[in-house]
Amino acid sequence: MIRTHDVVALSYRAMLLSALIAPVRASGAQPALGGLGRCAEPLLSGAAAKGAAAPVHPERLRETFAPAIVARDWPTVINGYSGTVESTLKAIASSSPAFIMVRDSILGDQKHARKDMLTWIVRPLPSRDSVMSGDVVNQFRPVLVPGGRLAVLQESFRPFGIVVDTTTMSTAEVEAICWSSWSLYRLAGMVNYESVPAALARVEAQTRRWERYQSKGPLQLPHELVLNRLLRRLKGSAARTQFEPPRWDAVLVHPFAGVEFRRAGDGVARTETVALEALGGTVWFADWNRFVGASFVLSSTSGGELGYGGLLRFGGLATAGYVQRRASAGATSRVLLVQLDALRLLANDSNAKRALGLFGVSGEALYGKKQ
Amino acid sequence: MARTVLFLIHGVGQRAPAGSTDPSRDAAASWWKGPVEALLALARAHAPNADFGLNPKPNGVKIVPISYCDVLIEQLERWSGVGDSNVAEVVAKQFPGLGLQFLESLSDISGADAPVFWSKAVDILLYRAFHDRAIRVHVREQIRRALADNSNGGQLPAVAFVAHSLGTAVLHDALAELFLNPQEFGGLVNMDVLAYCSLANVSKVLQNTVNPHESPVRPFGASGLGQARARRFINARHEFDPIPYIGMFKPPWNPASSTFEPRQSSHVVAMDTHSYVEYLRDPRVWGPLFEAVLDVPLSDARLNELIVKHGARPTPPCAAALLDLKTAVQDLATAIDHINPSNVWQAITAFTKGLKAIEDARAQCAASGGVGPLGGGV
Repeated sequence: MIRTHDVVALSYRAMLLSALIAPVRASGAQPALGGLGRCAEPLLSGAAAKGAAAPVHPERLRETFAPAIVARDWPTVINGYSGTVESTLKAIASSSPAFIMVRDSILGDQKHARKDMLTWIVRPLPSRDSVMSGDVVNQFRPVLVPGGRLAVLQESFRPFGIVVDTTTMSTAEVEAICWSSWSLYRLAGMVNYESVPAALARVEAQTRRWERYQSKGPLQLPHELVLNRLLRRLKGSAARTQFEPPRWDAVLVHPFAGVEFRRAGDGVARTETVALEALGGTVWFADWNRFVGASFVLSSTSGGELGYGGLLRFGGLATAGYVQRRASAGATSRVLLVQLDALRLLANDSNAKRALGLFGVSGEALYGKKQ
Repeated sequence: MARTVLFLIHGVGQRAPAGSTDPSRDAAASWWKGPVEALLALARAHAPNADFGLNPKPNGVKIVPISYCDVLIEQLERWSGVGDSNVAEVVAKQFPGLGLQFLESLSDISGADAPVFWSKAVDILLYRAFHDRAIRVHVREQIRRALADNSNGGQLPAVAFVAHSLGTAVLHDALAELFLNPQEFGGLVNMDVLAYCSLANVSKVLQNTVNPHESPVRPFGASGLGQARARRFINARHEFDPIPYIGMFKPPWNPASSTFEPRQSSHVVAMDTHSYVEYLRDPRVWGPLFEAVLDVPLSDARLNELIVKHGARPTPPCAAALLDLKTAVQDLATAIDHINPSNVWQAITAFTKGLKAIEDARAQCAASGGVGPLGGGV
C-alpha cells in the first residue's frame, strides 16, 4: 500500500534530482566576498577555476562528476572527489609549514570521511536506520571561529578547528586548501542528503497527523489533558511513536451543552440540557483521520431531572447519546441526546438530517419552525 | 532560497494586536517584527555587504521566524469557548433557539477553572504540562519547511538559531529530540548549526526531554549525550533580568576548551530588561552571531570596542524605578538560589514574580514621566 508520506518522499526526491542537475549558483545571484576573505566559497565569490588548484574548484569537480552525481553513483563520486583532492593538494609545490600542516590534516580527515561515506552509502535506504557522523558531514566547511580567525576541520572534538593563516600562504596554496574544503563539504552534504527527503516527509506527515488530532478531535479540558498525560506516562510509549499524536484519550468529568429529543405524541419534543461525560474514551485510527468515542453520560434538564446513559462519537461526524430518565410519574423515559457541536453540524448538513431522521427526529425539530 | 537560514523563536505572552479577527495567525505573523528590524538595522550598520533578510537573494542569509504562540492561542480560545462567560453569548448566537438559562450553567460549570490559565504564565503551562509534543512537532515543521525550501544542489542550507525566554526551552527540546533520533530524522540531524544563541535561557528549569546541560544542543568541545551539534553556543543574560536566574541554565561547559560563549550584560538601556530586542542589540550577542552567520570577523579588541560603545547608551530616566528593579531582581535571585526550583510549578510562580517586577518598574518609570523604550515582548 502506498502511504501518504511515501508520495511526499517521492516528491522530495524529484526535487533533489532536479537540484543535482542544476548548477548550484542560481541565476541572478550576486557574487560577494564575505569575511572569509580569500577562503570564501568560490560558488558565491565567483572565483574562477584557474591555476594549480583548478581541479578541486567546487564547480569544476561538480562538472567532472556530473553524470555520476545525477545517476547517484555515489561510490564513483566519493572516490573521484577524494582522489582529485588528494592528487591536487599533493601536487602543490610548497615549502610553507602552515600550508603543509593544514594540507596534511585535510588529507588525513578526508581519508576517514571517504571510508565513512562509502560504508554508509552502500546500505539500502529503507533499512538505513543510522546517519553519518555530523563531524564527517560538516567538518570541511571553512568557518570563522571566535576571535575572527579562519579555520577548517572544525568538529565536536576539535572545537576551534585548524586555523588557516592565509597571510603566509600563496594564492595557489590558499585556493587549494579552501577549494578542496568547500568541495569536500559539498560532497558530504550531498551524500548526507540521501536520507533527508524521507525524513522531511516524515516530519511533514507528523505535522499533518497532529493537525488532524488537534483540530478534528474532541475538545480536552485542562484536567483531561493532565489526566491523559499521566496515563500515557504510566503506560510509556515506543521510541517510534513518541512523535505521533496519542492513539487514545480518556474522557473524564467533561461537561457539555446538549439537546434532548423525545417522542411526544406524534411529534418530537426538544429539551435543553446540561450533560456530563462522566467517564469515557476516544480511539483514533486510519492515520488519525477517524476516531470513535464512547462515554457514560449524566444529563440534567433545567427542571433538575437527572438521567444517565451512553454517548457515542463517530469521527466528528456524529455525536449522539441515549439517556434514560425516570419521569415524575414513576415511568422511565428514553431520549436521544445530541451535543451542541453535533447539533450545529446537523443543522447545516442535509445528510446528517436524514440520518437523524432514522431515529425518528425531524429536521424541523432541531430549530423549531425557524429553519 | 538561501545558503544559510537564521531561525528566530519567541518567548511567552505573544498575542495578536487588538482588534485581530484571527488572533493565532496574526500573533504568529507579527511577533517577530521588532527582533527582525533590530537585526536588520544592526546588519546595515555592521555588515553592509551582507545579503541578509526575510527574502534574500539565493546565496544570502534568510531570517525565518518560528512561532508556537498560534498553538497556544488556539488552545486558549477553545478553552475560553467553554468557560468564558462571554462565550455563552457567542453560543447563544450560534444556536438562537436555545435559552441563556442553561448556557449560564455551562459557564458556571467550567468557566472559572483557574485564572492562571488566562495570564502570561499560561504559556509555560500550556507548553510544559499540556502541549509540549504538539508544539515541538509544530516547531520542527517550520524548520522542515525552511530546510526544504532552501535546499539547493542536493544540500541542506547551513542554519543558526536565536531563541528567547520560553523559546529557549521549546527550541532546545525540539532540536534535542531531532538530534537524538536519527532513525526518524535521517540526515536532518546533520544540519550544519553555525550558531545557537539563547537569550535569557530557561531550558534547564523547564527541562522536558533531555537535560540541556548534557544534550546534543551544546557547543563543540563540550561533553554530553551524543554528538555536540553547535559550532558556537552564545548564551546571553542580563544581570538585571530576573528570568535567567529562574532559568537555572548553568552548564559546566568550559569556554576555553569549547565554543561556549557565555555573555552577561549589566548596563540597563530599557526598563524591560527581559526585552528580546534589547538582548539582540547587545554586541555581545549580535557580534558573534554575525561572525558565525554573516562571516563578519570579530576580533576581541573590536568586540570590546563595541561593548564600550553600547555601554555608553543612556539608561532610562527613572533612577528610583531602576533601583527598585535592581533590588527586586537581586532579592529574587537570592530567593531562587534558596528554593532551587525543581519543578515547573515553582518555576511558573517565580516566572510570574519576575515579570511582575519588570512590569512594576516600567509602570513606576512611566508614572514618573520617564518612559523607557519598550522591548519586543517577553
